[in-house]
Formats: sequence, structure tokens, C-alpha cells
Amino acid sequence: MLIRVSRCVAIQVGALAATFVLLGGTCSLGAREQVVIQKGTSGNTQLRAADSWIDGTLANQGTNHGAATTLQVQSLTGQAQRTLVMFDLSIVPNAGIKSATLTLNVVSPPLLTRTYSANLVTSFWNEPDVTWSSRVATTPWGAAGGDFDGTVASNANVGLLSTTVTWTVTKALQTWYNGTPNYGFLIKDNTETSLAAQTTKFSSKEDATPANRPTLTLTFLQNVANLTTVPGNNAITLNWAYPTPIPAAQGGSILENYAGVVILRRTTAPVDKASFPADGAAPPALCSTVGTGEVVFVGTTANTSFTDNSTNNTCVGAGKGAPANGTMYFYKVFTYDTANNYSSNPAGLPAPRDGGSAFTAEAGAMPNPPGSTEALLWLTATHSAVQAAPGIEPGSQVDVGTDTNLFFALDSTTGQHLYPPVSLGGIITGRPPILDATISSIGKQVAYVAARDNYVYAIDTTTGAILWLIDPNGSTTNLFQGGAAVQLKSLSGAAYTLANDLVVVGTRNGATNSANSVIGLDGNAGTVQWTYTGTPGATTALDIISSTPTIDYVNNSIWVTSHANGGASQPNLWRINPLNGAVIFSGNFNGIDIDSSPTLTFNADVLFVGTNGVTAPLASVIDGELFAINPKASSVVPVVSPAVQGAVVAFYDDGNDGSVVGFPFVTTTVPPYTVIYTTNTKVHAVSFNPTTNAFTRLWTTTIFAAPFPTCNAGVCSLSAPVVATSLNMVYAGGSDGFLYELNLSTGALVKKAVVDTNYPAVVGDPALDVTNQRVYVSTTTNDQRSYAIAIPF
Amino acid sequence: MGPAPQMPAPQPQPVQASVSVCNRTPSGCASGASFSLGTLRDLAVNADWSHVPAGTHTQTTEILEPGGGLFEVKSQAFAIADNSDGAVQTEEIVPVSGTMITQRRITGAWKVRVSLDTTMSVTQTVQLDP
Repeated sequence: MLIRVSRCVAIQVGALAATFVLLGGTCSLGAREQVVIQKGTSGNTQLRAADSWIDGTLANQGTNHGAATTLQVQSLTGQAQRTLVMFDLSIVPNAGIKSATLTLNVVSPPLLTRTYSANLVTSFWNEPDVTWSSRVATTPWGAAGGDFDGTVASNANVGLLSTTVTWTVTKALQTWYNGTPNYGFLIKDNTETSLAAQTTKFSSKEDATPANRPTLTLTFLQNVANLTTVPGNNAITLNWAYPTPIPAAQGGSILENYAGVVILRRTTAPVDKASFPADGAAPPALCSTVGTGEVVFVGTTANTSFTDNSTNNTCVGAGKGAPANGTMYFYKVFTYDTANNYSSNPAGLPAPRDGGSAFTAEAGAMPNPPGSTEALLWLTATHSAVQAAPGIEPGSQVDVGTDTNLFFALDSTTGQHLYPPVSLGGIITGRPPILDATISSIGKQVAYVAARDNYVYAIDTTTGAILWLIDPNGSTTNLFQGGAAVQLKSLSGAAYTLANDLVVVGTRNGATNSANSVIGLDGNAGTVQWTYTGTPGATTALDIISSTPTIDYVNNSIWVTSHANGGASQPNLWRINPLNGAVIFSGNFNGIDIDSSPTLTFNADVLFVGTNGVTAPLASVIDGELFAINPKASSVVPVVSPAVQGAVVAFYDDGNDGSVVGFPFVTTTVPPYTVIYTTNTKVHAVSFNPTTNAFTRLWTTTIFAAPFPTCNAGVCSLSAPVVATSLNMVYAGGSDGFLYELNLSTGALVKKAVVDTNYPAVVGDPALDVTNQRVYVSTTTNDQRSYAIAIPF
Repeated sequence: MGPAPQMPAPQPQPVQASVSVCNRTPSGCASGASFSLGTLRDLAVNADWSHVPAGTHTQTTEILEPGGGLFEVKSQAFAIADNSDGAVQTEEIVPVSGTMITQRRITGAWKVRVSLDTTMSVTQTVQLDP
């Protein structure tokens, strides 16, 4: 039985437990759970944690203290010292944060009372490298002494008698959980110009006594777990479980009990992030409106299921009431506790991710008559546009890299975060390949992530720990747009003599149109195996690379496409030796840039390459075309525009519809090969016979035409395709918020599934999970999310 | 003669910024308010700050799609020395050619919002045409 004594005090009376919350005699909303995060206590390994201190003394500005047992803060003119501390929040991956404090143990205090600020660090840093001057290896801070937000997150005093110092950092944690990269805190003296040193030493996470190490105390409400929807006939059933509280053995404690859930519903688009019940207020009334959501259910902890139908949903009005067949409905499910806290973050946080319920559990479904299979399996917030297709470990994990430097690892069944996103140093625009531990030479389930900060990262995807990182060019402008390709030693023949897997990346340095690079990295150590850097010349100049390289195990080659300085004077296709980076041949065909990745047949006897298209206002119009290349050719591909010469054995042109997008998809393992590719508004299927070197058109289907004639703002585009051969279906994302399904044999449009109809929901490249029979996509709307959709629709 | 009259302490001037954009290519940076996707290589976002107080600051550059959604966020920190006039110029490069913007033809009125320490911001519209 629950007795509400007042707004701020609640008593839970049960058979065995009574909880009374009244903090310091003042009104406190309290929270459901609390956890104390500290390395070495309660079994917490803090695998992704880091701390260090940096020294502004001129002679010491290059000294790293990452392994020190103390952290230091000092005020002294010209010799300031600052502390960096970052926590691993993996123990609480899916939650709304209600309060947070950072506590450091004082080893030796200053002589005089000082005020120390905790500031949010705004750039990625690496504990073994960080110094006053540099944040990673040889990459300097933007401002020596650390990059941080000039707005102080929290102040705290430390004096001669201080044994600990505590900062209130609630908003910092809330912004991190709302999608701001977590680079930790920088602790500094607010006045660093003392004439006599005022120094404080704190215990670091390397302190021999675990209880002395840095501590982060969080109070929070976890989201519901295992949220699923089951569509029915004019009905949708939601099922969920209440989260398992963090046990005391792991530093957890229960402050207040869950009271139940509040469920909001919206038609045709997800409930936006600004729609959430206010902490401290009683659950909103049924059928009332909260932001863009309508309250369709308020339940207690006895409820773990709700069927949205005409019996349970009696709301009256346009779009209200029982769900209608053929309409997509989205739900947002909040847990709440006995003090009416909700599993959301508050409004009013600093821009750009300014609060809201972005991390609350969400679901969606389209009710249909019995027999229909269309199902949106889950959706989850990613907080920014996502340019990269998701990487998948089929059947278990989906990894999404975002345009705000975050690498999300999602449970492929539920969409829940396996751990808080890994904060990298740059935007991730290429699909991250995920390798299973059984086949990777590093012996771990690893993702190789090429980012826009010029770094390549190896991430252990079971924990989120960064295994290694490298800026292989030492340049500030050699960013990576395409993804990394990996040549697995375990799948390579005897000719592959490198010790470990090879990670291959290409640079997109817009400042040069001739000196970009293709780089081979050791997959275990992250060291550079080789680099090819272009030089001016008809066969050597390397313009920007936007695509992901292709590994050719049969012909011992790496295939790379590039821009060609907008014309025919530079190569746009490269064949490179994986052992040493030597260019086997390079050439230009069609006289145009290439952004799509090449695709090999299963037998590696044909390489398909799709070129860009050029339209007005440039002088000439060149259409995007599909080329068939002989991958065994060793000679330079002649310049053709277009023609069949040298290694180019055939080309296919299906009308002026812009560039070939993403990559061609080869659906057959034996010739003649069926190839599916997309251009702006069309999906194409062609057959290629390597005996006659001839393309044959199978079908071309125009999307955004009858029966689905719309696209946003008149600008139509399609993603790269994926093909589920076992279902005989093709899938491609549109610029209108829909995912399209076509019959592989005929090209007939079968159906389109709602992903997000908010403008302008450009649906990105899908990833196909044949194990779970679903596709994963991301979008670019105001409330950016990733989705899992069952196939066939 | 009495004591010299006390001068009032100078009031700090408010931080100000202007933002402009240009098409950054290896051969230079062509200014404009609208660009064709066929010719735009990198969008350079140039911020010209004045009266920034001494200390470390972080500039955040947000790229907003025509629909208002957050597309990209980039940040860079800089330090203003004591006794400085608080003026600083920054450049942030947003790759366009070969990215999702050109491959998916996301045209329309984009916005560039530049802020300092999440306290003040300046917004500039950039028209991207097919």
C-alpha cells in the first residue's frame, strides 16, 4: 500500500519494507535508485574511466600523469595544475538522471581556502597521452591546459581541514545522457595566479585504497526493460518489464520505489523529446495531452502490459481512441516513482541537446488485420543525424555512429543501450565493421571506427572500451568520411603475409585534390603498416575518398574509389597491394567523381563500380552509370567517357537519374550476376554475364511515383539498397520517411513502411540482419532515432 | 585639493560575433549565401568574435537541416589572454561533397548556429541548391 504524506515525502508500507524519504529536513523529490560509482568498490572495474592531472609549468607541459596515484590542482602564476576525471557510466545505461555529485578525496589540502570549478571537457582526451599541451598523442588541445566549456558546471571550496570535496554535477550528467559526448570534468582553481603555490592533491583511481578513489553518485530512474509491441486488429499490445535495480553489491540502493508507468501515444511520428511529464507532478490524466503525446495509460507496478484498443482506450477526438488499422502509432513509456519522478531528463539543459525524454523507452506499431506481418520492432534516440549505416553483429548487436561523435551499441532484440554511448573525438559517417572474436586476429569482438577527427578507433563492442586509437597521418585535416575495411587474416590465403588483420581507410582531405591517402593499419596494435599518399599526376593524384574500400581476397587487392578532381585528369579507381600499399593500377573512367563503394562478386571475377552523376548548372550532364571491371587486370584503366577498354569490360546506363548511391548489391553467387543499385529516384536490377561481358536490364522501378508519389520538398533521393535474397525482397530508404520494399524478381513495389514522417526524414542506408530477419535504419529528423523493422513488411 | 574623483570601473562589453560562410576548395574560399551542391566542396564557417573575456572558451558549431533537425555538431576551444581585446577568429570546416548532403540531395535553407560556452549564439542561413 502506498501512502502519500506530502509532495516530498512518501512512505511505502509493505510486508517487509518501509521507506521514508526526507532529506535534511527540506523538500526533496528523491529518486528511485542511487548508485555510487567508484573503481574497485562493489566490483566496479571502471573499464572506460580515466583520470590525470596536467601541469602548466613550462618545463612540464609535455609530461603525462595518467598513471599517478594522485590528481593535482594548483594555483601559482605560470605553474597552474589542473585535474581531468572521467567516469564509466556503464552500470546505468538506460535512465533519466535526477541528481549527480562528484567527490574527490583530499590527500593534501591547500594552505588557504580555495574555490575549485568543475568544467565540462569539450574534446576527446586519452589518459596515457594527455598533457597540458596535448589531449591525444601529438594532437594538441585547442587551448593549452585543456578544452572546456567556459561556463562553470559547479564550484566547491577546499580548505586546510577538507578531507573530501564534492561538486554537484547533475546538469552535466543529464546533458551526457541526452547525447552530449562525455569527456569528463576538468577541475581547476578559479584563480590560478597565486604568488605562493596553493596546491591540493586528490586520490586518483590508481590510489591503493579503493574507498579513496574518485566517486560519482547518481540518482536516477531506469527505463522499462524489454519493451515490445504486438499489433493486432485495431489494437496494439505493449509489454514491458520493470528494470532490475542496481544491487547493493554493485553500489546500488533504493531510495524510492517504482509506482508504475505513464504511456504517451502519437500518430505517424514518434512522440518528440520535449514531451514528458514534469517531475513532482502527479501522473497526467488519461486522454490529456503532454507535448505531442496523448496519455493513453497510467498504470501501477502490477501492470506489465497494456492493450491499446477500443476497450481500454476511450479517449474521444480526432486521432484519439482505439488505433486504426493501417496507421502507425508511436509510444513513449515512462517509469515513475512514489515521489512522481519520471524516467526523463528535465527541460532547460544547455543547447543543443536541451533536455527532454530522449532516453525514455519508445515503441511503435501499426495495427493490422490478422495475417499482416508489418512491425516496427524498436526505436531508440541517437540525438543527431546519422550518416553511417548501422554496423551489425547479426542476432545480437547493432552499432550506430552519429554526427555528434557518439558510438551507440544497441541490443538488436530490444534496442536498449548495452552501455552508454562511447564518446569519440569526431563525427562518424562510415559504417563501422564489427568482427566477431572468433575471426578477428585481436581475439575480441571489435569495431573499427574511422571518424572525422582524423582518428581511427578500435572498440571492444562487448564493453565499449577503446582498445587503440591512432591519427595515422598526423594531420588535422585528413578526416575520414567512408568506413574502414578489414582484411581478416583468418580468411586470407597464404599470399597474405601480414601478422594480423589489416584495417584500411581512405582520407577525405578537402584541402587537397591530389594528396589524399589510403592507409593500412595493424588491426591488433593500431600501428601504420603502410600509407599511399597521392602526388600530382595522371595516375598518381588522389582526390578525396568518400567511400569504404573493398577487400579482394582472391586477387589480393584493395579497391578504392575516389573523386577525380571533377574530371578525367585524375584516377577515380585504385587497385592497391594490401601487403605494402603499392598501387597496382589506377585509372579514370567516365571522367567523373565516384562516391559509391565498389562491390565484388562472390567469385571475385567481376568488380562493379557505380559512378556519380553530374547535372546542371555544370556545362555537361553525365549520368551515374554502373561499370563492370575485370579485377584481375594489371594494367592502367584508360580514360574513357564512357567506353569499354582495358579493365573496363562493360557499362550500363539507365537514364539520367543522378549518382549511383552507396554501393551496388550483387545478389547471386554464380553468373550471370544480378546487381541491384539505386540512383536518385530509381531502383535498378541488371544482369551481367561475364562470358559475354554484357549487361541486360531486368527491371527499373521509380520510387516516389504512383502508388507512392510523394517526397519531401520535391527533393527525392534513395539510400543504397539491401537485398534479402531468402525473402526475394529489396529494401531502400527514401527521403520521405519511408522504407520501401520491392520484389527482387519483378521490381514491383510491395509496400512501404513508416519510419518517421517528420520532415525531412531522410532514411539512411539500411543494414540487413538475416539472423533476426529485420533491417535497421536511421533518420535525420528533429528527433533522430534508429529503428528496427521486421521483414517482410 | 581633495581626493581625485574615482573613475567608475569599465563595464565589460557584451560578447559579439558575426558569422560568414564560404566554399572552401584547395584554391580558396568563395563567399556566398547560397551554393550549388554540384560545386560546394567544404563549407567553411567563419566566426569573428569580439569582447570575449579572458580564459578558455569553447565554440560550438551546429549545422541544422532545412527542417530544423540537428545534423552535425562540432566544437573547438580557444584561449583569450589577459589584457587582450577579446577578439578571435575561428574557422570550422563542414565537408559537403561526397557526404550524405550531396548523395541524398538534402537541399534547402540550412542553418549554421555558432555559440560560445552554450551561453550566446549567432545563426546564419545557408541556402543549398540542387
